[in-house]
Amino acid sequence: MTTETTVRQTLRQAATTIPTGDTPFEQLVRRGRRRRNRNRGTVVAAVAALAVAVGLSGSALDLPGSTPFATQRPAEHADVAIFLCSDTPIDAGAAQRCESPATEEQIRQLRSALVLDEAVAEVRFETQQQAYERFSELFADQPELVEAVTPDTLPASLRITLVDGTPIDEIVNHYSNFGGVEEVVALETD
Amino acid sequence: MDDLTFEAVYRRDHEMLRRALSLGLGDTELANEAVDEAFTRAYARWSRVSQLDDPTAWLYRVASNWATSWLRKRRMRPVRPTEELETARYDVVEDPAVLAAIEALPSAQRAVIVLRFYLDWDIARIATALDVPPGTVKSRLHRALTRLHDVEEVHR
Repeated sequence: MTTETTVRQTLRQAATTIPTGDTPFEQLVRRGRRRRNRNRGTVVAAVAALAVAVGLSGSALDLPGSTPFATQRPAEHADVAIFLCSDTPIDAGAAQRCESPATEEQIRQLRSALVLDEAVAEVRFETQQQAYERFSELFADQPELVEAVTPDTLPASLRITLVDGTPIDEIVNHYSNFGGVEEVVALETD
Repeated sequence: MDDLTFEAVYRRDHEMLRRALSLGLGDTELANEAVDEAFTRAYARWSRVSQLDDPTAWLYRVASNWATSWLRKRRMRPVRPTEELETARYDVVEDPAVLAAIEALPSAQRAVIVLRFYLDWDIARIATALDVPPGTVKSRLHRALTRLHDVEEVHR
């Protein structure tokens, strides 16, 4: 047996002990969607503006703590997205942080804190269904991706616009610690 | 390459790259994270990545660089096999000495060995994946095989 053959056989045998990967395709898509949102702000802006135009706005949800001006500006101005815990955590870290989907009480507390936060100019709530619709619009040119995703695999989020000059990192860190929060993402930086 | 969808490449390459990187790094957990990161980055810029001559080689390179960078940041040794995995793989191979020798290779040579003999990639593709000239791949391959051959001879 040549060395090459032995090496090939040894690697194949060793590889059989590697556990099967456990990252569902949908999770990567979700993570990639967030990156893509950051990378392709103009596309997101167009789609988000459309979503607002057809009435997919926070006020329609009549959530406690809604700011009266929450829907006056289109969502493309959001600086930060606070993704809420859902049934499908994006990774192992999120699974640890999220014992269950965000409760109404957790969302209420989060919104209260945001409304009182002087660094926050406005808050908009995006439901899982709205996220799915925006996703479908964003990837209309890739139907196989849309087919791979259902509304319940996309998290609801609170989309925040900050007062100019607010350090985004501080906001991200602060709100990452709230109950019911899966991940806080700065949308304007990459 | 126009017909390559992200999902198709994911279905085809994700598991393969994960296993190859795991063998190369000796660290399955890190390999998982690195390959996921590479696919996440690919997804965010798929319109460009899908136009590359070899998106799979690009994915390997991104994952490998990410893992290397992570190890550097943590100032960890390149190999941190867990007790359980180490035992498991040494239990199933016919030539434990050869596996030990592969894992003892310098990481650059180990990567070439894994890509050549686990994934059966040719020299040009390995060069693209590792971002080095083909001559460097041949040189690493030659040195690694010489060392492995010596180990095999001793244990024969």
